[in-house]
Amino acid sequence: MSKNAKQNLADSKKMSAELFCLTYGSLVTELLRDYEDPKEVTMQLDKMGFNMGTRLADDFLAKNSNVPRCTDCRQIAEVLCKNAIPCYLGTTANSSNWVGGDREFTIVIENNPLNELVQVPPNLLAAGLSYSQVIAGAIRGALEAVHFKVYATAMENGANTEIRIRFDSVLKDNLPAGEDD
Amino acid sequence: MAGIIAIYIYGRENSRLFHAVNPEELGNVCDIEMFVFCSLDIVDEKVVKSNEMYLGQLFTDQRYKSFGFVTNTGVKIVLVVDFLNSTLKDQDVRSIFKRFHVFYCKTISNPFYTIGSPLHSRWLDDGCKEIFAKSE
Repeated sequence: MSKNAKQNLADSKKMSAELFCLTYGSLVTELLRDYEDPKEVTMQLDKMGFNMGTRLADDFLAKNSNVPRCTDCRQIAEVLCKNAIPCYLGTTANSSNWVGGDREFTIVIENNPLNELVQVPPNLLAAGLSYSQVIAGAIRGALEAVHFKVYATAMENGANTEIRIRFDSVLKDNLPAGEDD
Repeated sequence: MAGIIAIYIYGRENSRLFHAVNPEELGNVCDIEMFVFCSLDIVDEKVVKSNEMYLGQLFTDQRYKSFGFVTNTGVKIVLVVDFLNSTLKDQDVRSIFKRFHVFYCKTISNPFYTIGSPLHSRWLDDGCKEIFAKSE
């Protein structure tokens, strides 16, 4: 990250992690009350994330002008872990668990700020609620905005959140992002 | 720290939110609970006069002594200690209460917790394990 971008990050207005965590928590519980089906809630969170991601992609590229053009999944993973996640979540992430000829990998987000104070009840987890799916959706949306089609799902693992990403294809045409959801 | 018997958390209307008893004392739960109920009455007396959240020692009999703590929102924490215990200083009790107050705050910040229902969280469980382990 360039010096300039770092300065921008430090200058940008900060939000209390607790307030953020509580806001997101009440959003999820409200969705649960409205939809009554945890699977449906996961889908909605994914959709919200997707819409955020398509917008964030441009914002991210504007702020970080030194991000290289990605040609393979390892580069995508590196940009996500080293630049994008620290920039928007303020925490570190690592990529691991590469399978299928580098087409599928896991990003482990340490100390995910979304579930800092959250303990998801086991029955909701079993029913298919993925609490941090909004992050997975955002990654999917952001990559789709730069013409990579991926599938992303979020899983909780203790204090860490694992985002499983499967690369599908490069979108050839120049459809504007967000028109095909 | 030795001889910590139990910790109880009560809501504003004296509804029980959380309790944990030292595994060695599980046979005496009835006696301990009776003792805690007596202590709760003294909490109500003391809270009017007190000008801080820590209320000090509440009550004592031949087997136990209890300490109290009331938050500004009316949540009461009662700590039961062995009567013969003399290693536990006032400062230690204060720090235990302060820690459990933080655990309580963290637990109720969980969006899946409904206010007024019993508390379950890994913070409280770990905190209890720690104070009971130290008391062996």
